[in-house]
Amino acid sequence: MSDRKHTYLFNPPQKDPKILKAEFVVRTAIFEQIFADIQSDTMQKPPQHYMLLGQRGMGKTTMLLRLKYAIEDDATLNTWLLPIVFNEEQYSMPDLASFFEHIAKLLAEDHPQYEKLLDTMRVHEYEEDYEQKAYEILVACLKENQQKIIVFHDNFGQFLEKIGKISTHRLRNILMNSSEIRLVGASATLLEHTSNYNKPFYDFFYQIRLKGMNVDETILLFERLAENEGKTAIFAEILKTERARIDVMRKLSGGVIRTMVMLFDVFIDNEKQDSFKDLEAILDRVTPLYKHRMDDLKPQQQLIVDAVAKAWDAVTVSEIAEIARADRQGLKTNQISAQLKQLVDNQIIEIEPRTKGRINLYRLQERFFNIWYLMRFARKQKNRIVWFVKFLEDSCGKERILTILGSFFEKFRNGTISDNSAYDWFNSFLMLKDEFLSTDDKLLVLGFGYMIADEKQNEEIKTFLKSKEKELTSQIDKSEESKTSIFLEPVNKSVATIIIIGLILIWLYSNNKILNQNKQEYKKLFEKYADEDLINILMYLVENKIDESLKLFNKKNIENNLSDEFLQEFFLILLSKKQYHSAYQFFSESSREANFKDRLKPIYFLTMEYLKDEYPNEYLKAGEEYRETIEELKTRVKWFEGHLN
Amino acid sequence: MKLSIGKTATGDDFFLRDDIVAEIYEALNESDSLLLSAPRRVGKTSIIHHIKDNPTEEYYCVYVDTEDVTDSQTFFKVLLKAIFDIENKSRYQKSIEKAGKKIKGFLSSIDNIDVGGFFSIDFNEKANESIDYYEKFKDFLEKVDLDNRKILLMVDEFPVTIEHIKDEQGENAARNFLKQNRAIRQNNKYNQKIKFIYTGSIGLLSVVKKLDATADINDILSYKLRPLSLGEGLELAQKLLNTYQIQANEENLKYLLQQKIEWLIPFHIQLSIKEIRDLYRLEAKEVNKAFIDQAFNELILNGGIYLDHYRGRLSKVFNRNELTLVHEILKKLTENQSVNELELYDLAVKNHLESSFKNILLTLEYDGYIVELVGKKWRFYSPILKQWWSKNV
Repeated sequence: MSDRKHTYLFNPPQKDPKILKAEFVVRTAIFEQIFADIQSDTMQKPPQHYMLLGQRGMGKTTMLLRLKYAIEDDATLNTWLLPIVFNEEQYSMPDLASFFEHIAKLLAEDHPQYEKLLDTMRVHEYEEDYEQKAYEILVACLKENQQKIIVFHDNFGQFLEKIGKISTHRLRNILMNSSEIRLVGASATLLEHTSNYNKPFYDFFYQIRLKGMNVDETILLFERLAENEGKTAIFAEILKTERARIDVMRKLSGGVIRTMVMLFDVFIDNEKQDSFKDLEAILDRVTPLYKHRMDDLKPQQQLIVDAVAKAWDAVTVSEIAEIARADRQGLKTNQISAQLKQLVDNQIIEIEPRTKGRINLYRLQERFFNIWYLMRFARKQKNRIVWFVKFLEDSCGKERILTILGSFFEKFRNGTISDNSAYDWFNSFLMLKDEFLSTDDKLLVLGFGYMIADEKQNEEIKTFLKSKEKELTSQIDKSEESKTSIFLEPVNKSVATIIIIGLILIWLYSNNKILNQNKQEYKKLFEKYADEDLINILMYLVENKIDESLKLFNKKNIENNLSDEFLQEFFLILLSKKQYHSAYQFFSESSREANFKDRLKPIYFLTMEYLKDEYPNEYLKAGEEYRETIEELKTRVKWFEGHLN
Repeated sequence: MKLSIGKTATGDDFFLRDDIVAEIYEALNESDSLLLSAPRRVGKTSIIHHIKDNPTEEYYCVYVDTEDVTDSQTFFKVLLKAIFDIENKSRYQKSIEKAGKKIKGFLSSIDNIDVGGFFSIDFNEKANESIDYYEKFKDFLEKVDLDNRKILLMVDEFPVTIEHIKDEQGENAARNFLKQNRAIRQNNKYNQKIKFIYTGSIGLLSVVKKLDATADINDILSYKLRPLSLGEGLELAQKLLNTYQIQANEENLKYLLQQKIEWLIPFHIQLSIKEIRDLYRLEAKEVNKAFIDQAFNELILNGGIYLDHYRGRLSKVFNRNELTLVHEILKKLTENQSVNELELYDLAVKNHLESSFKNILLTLEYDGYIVELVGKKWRFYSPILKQWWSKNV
């Protein structure tokens, strides 16, 4: 994303009106509704005032600007109705008098007839009721010129907070009774002023909630963005297969337009770049948006948001207290509850809607905000990449993660992903929950990565991966260690495992175009570790070319003494392909030298178990000592089934 | 007739209730001043605007909103200003001409006025402090000759003004302010020339009670603005829907009004029609009961956040015992269209809260939870809040 494009994202007012109008493709119904009212009302009576409510980035500012431009473009309106825009960051607006002064300033900028207005106001600057005077002078001047104004105020909630009770009443009085001013306000926070029965502006505005975009709107927006960047064809192609992914990202961002525009880049360039880096860059860029959000909070609320963000999953009040070490801060749970209420009101935190019973579960409403938070504030090295892991888990299903994995290996191998970034990628994959990548999957990731690193002669990454493997295997049952150790130097007892790794990866990613195309390339990678024929035996099997695989197996079986490890993987894949009778034949017909039945007893019994309808007693012969191993093997066959189909 | 959400409905957008206007005039014949009271959003301001815009021969109608006034001096200044407001000028023209020198003399005594063929008044001079606007106001009434007509001065948000004066200037100042106003109303010379309609959404009586000054307003006749009848509600709903070319038959509209809105104040009808229109724009299908249910649910969904506020706020206002009673009261109100106060009192007895019962009701009313109907009955103020309450609390 270019810097310029990025600037516009946060400062729509700086955007060329032509572009803003061209890009204005969602929320058109709301725009048309308000604009139709503006067009049809000549403001002979006090007009309808509007209030747009929505989180930062929901398109409030853009909506206000779109209305402004529409008025300026309308030949009838632009003679008598003058738009005044108050920007979001109007800090220098402490009272109602400054509000009118600012209007005078803006009027003078574009219209010479209002040049002296501010000076006329300021004559009364030090009088007690200057607010009122300033307003009256403004109105007199407007009447003189037979013009009216429409004020677009981007931060109305905060403005009301600042000006205090009496001035709020004064402003209401003015808006209620003046035919010279129409207000279209916007606010990111819930306006207590409009929802509290005792506040002057209770139910005063025509409120319009800008909700998150739906799928159709998102696609419409993306189409337009793609068009602007000359990527219409690419997007159309992606849309064919990845509609679901758009929806996932939409949910992740809460449908916030600004975030979605930023995610668009990741979305469309995913195949070419390092999405880890991209996302990191995007998160850097959303920092102003989100930092603002944090800064807006009271200290106690920051503490709570911090705890909820770190928890990631929805948590209870007492869990929040625990994470935030609230007792040490002197924060009681009822205070936390009270603050949570406000945070919920302001759409920072949401209550898990499916909670049953009395205890609420809270989480950050916008997941992308949570990801950003984890990235910005995770200080521990180990947690440095948690945000990315969360992003993957939340935005991708298992399928998608496997594709990303494939794409990662490709980029790692051709150097698109730097070594530095590769560490983060590997760590991220390893941190994924089991439901996304099982331990076996993770070992494969390490194995495949190791082979590529070996090919690139990158000793550092090799060492890193070895240590990671150790970490991983130490977490699982010690007895499995020998089976899963894959980093011993080539041509040893676990050669077979390595071959399997390669093959399975090819298979896994065969729906990944790039990897599929380079299948032969990858095969070469594995040849360093094993005889080409052995690779082919398994590869044919994986590719359902059972016949060819078995022929080659027979040939090799006669020539060589195949290792137990290789045989085990071969049989397990064979069983996963439901080739029970072929397996049985190998066992029953194997030569005395080969003696499969004795060497691979557990697998033999497992085969017989699959064939128990035909041989009801055979599998029962397995002694108790084999039971556990057989169960484990069964799991592995299932795993193969899951991965190979 | 277009939707008016929160703004004063005027002109074609105002749903005229002839009988109400007639009753107000009738009440004005019976008393020198009137308090037009009703909860927020019932349509008080729209009605007095209608009176202002369609004056009878008998009155010069002047409207003034004093919600931002914080002291007595400014109050009377604002009243004077409103009387001489440019837009009202033409209405006085005739009588001012007749009044001749008297008026002229009066006007000259206020700083910097310009008495030409017309007159204008410049209140912008800095010499404010030297003028006692209360005295000026009386002076004006003393001298002005209105050709046997009367000024009908409609003061919007009067109770808020009293509260502000109390907050900013102290209770004594507020009491004094009430006495000043009473003195004007009670003066036989003045009340030949002026009548007042006060309006306010917060109860004038409860504000004044806090000041221990009920005696100072007991001359004001109270007129309670009632909600629309079913017939009126149907007409309003139909008119609004016609504007947006949406068809709905009477049976379905009755369902909306009777089953959903129940208490037919214009604002809630406007809000419901808005929701129906917005939904209709998304998908133009028959406006039947299911459609109305959907629109009404949308209304509740949109309000979700602030509705939750209503629940949360209670625990700040009431103590634990009271809270139990409040929840019982509100629960009872969700189950019925309206409930007799006696039945609610019974709940107070059950909770041993007889003595604070009335206060609790008033607080709930003040905060916009419930409203009192004629015949000492209570109901939820907002149908949206009511539905939400029955589902979520």
